[in-house]
Amino acid sequence: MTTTTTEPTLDRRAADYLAAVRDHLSDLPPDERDDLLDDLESHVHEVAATTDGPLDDALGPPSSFAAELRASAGLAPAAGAPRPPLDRLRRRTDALRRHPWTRAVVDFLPELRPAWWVARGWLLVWLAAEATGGDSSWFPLPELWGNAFLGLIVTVPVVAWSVRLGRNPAPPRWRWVVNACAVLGALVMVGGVGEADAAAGYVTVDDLGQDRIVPNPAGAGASDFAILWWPDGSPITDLDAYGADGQPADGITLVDQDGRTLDLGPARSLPPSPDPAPRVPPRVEPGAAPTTSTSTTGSTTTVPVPPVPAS
Amino acid sequence: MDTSQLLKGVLDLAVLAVVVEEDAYGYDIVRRLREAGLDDVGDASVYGTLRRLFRSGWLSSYVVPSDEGPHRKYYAVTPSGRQALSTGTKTWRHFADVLDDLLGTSGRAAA
Repeated sequence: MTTTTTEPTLDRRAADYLAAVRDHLSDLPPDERDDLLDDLESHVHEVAATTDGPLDDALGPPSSFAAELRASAGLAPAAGAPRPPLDRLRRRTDALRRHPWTRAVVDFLPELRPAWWVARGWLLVWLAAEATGGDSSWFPLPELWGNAFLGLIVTVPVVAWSVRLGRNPAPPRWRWVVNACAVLGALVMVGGVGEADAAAGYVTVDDLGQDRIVPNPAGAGASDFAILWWPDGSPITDLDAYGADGQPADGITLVDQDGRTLDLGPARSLPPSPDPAPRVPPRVEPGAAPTTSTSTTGSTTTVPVPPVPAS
Repeated sequence: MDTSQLLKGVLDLAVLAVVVEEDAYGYDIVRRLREAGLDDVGDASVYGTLRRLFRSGWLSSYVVPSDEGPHRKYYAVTPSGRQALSTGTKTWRHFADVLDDLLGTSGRAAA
């Protein structure tokens, strides 16, 4: 046998040759083809072990090998050549499959399987956590019925079970259901975390008493919980309404450009400002029509429109 | 004359003769056929023949795991395979005798 350092290339040459022969037998019934190739696998490996050169030299090109195999096995010769565009496509995908980079990635994938088994167990619990309404404030711990500790207790055995399932040499047929659930869990998690995570460009409007995502035009960081912005991009993080008497006004209804109501939540019971000037209501976009907020008591305050600054 | 053309007709017999001697796997059969003097025998032809003889019920197979590389499929001649080999051998002897005679005569004439 050869040394361990040359074995991968040896196996690769054999695998490539077998794949090429398989392509030339693609019109045969799968059972027939597999029987033929199953037998050849060890043969091509043994031939590859005895020669350093290309296997085409030792065994002939895969096309004639396949033709000889058909003839001697008493099978019909290949039905007409494949249509040229399909043939070209197949050659391209073959070339891609044999590209060193593709090989490097494909060879590496099996090493990632244990990581997937662990992740799969965790994702299953995550899916359960989402189903029981837990949020992701304890990320990466799933919260079962809102309980992160319970999530941890459940995660450990589920991960162990998932690893055991992965190491099972004869995986049960329902394994795909488990994998599908894990993928679903991953999708739910990506969606859920994206919601909870105030990524740049999106902020959560907690101060309005509503969990609503608002695009942040200034691209402010996650710490800037803002619902409105001044023209210069500085955030307005809360809105409070004050009556003409300078006292906080409850029951104010603010309406956006589409007629949707903004829930202001309970007014802040701020101590009266020591500043002699009353707290100025937030300005609206310069040049816009004066905004009128109507309280439920019928009193109306008019928000003055600032002059358009010279730009 | 191209040996491979002649070989086609007798490869079944040659393979049966090698396997009846001792159970063997494909690579081994190819090697033993070549050692016996059939240098031109193609790897693919042997495997195709094995497959066909197996389908005809003349050969049976069993798998032996190998420490290095893929498992090996060993072939053995079945009773009906032995029957076929014996019939085939008689046919061949007769055929060869006839041809020997023919070639002997024409060979002398050509000399």
